[in-house]
Amino acid sequence: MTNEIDILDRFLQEFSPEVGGRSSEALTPAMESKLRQLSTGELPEGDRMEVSRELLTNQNAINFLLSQLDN
Amino acid sequence: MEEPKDTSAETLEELTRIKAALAGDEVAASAIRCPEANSRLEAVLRNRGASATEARDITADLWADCFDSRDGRRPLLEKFSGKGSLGAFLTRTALNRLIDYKRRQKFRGQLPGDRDDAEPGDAFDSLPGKDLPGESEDQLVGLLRDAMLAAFTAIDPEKLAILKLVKVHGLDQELVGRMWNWSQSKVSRNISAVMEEVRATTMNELQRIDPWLELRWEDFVELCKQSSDLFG
Repeated sequence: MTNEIDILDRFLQEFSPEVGGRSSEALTPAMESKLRQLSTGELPEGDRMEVSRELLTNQNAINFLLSQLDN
Repeated sequence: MEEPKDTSAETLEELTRIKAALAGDEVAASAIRCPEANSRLEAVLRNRGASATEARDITADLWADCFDSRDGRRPLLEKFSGKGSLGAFLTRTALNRLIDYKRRQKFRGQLPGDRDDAEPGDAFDSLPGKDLPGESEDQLVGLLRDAMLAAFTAIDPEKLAILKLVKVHGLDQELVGRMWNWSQSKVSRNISAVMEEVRATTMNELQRIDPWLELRWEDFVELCKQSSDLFG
């Protein structure tokens, strides 16, 4: 399959940026801490939903997580 | 009509032909409105749920708008930017018109009844407020977006986030597995299941919004791609 989700994601970013992950709200220290925990596999299950929502809607969350993984 | 920055030779040729046609060159106009292009447009519309009559009338109407200024609107071809092919532009416009027509038909319950004849072409002409697609809102984009949003909001955010981390951001399945304390095979199964859920929910939503529309998943994805290429 050509990366269908990539195509759909790009479409949503163009035409529905509020849900396409294009918001760029500053991350709270608490969220940064949770993203760090996720990157090391230490995020408690109870926090995963909240962090997932942040990853889906906030580009800063994705960037932060990716930077943690690069470290 | 503005010329895009990265213009292929084929697009340049199309833009030159359009310019000539709009200036009154009959040969150029005939090359654009050729029988093959006409048949293709009608076939696309029929394959998407239009009756033969609807396909014929929408296509005829579209060709007329391509070259003529009607009701104070400039010719449709002036709006072709050179992004994508002219064929894709015309197909998209025809689909927009089909969606518009079908929705008006649904809200009205029936076509205008205070008429002496029952020629479908005339019925199309009598529909009020017939805006050209692309001038205000691209109905196709709205439809694709609404269907996809319904799907994305119905799906578990955790599963969707995993899908995007792997498929959009290119993270290794094993790495994502470590982050979630899942095995790589569980991540893989999750991705397949969520993708299937996206497909099924999106298609169900499309069916709910416009039950007459015949669209396969592959068409849906291709239209999304075209939309991004065209307007992105």
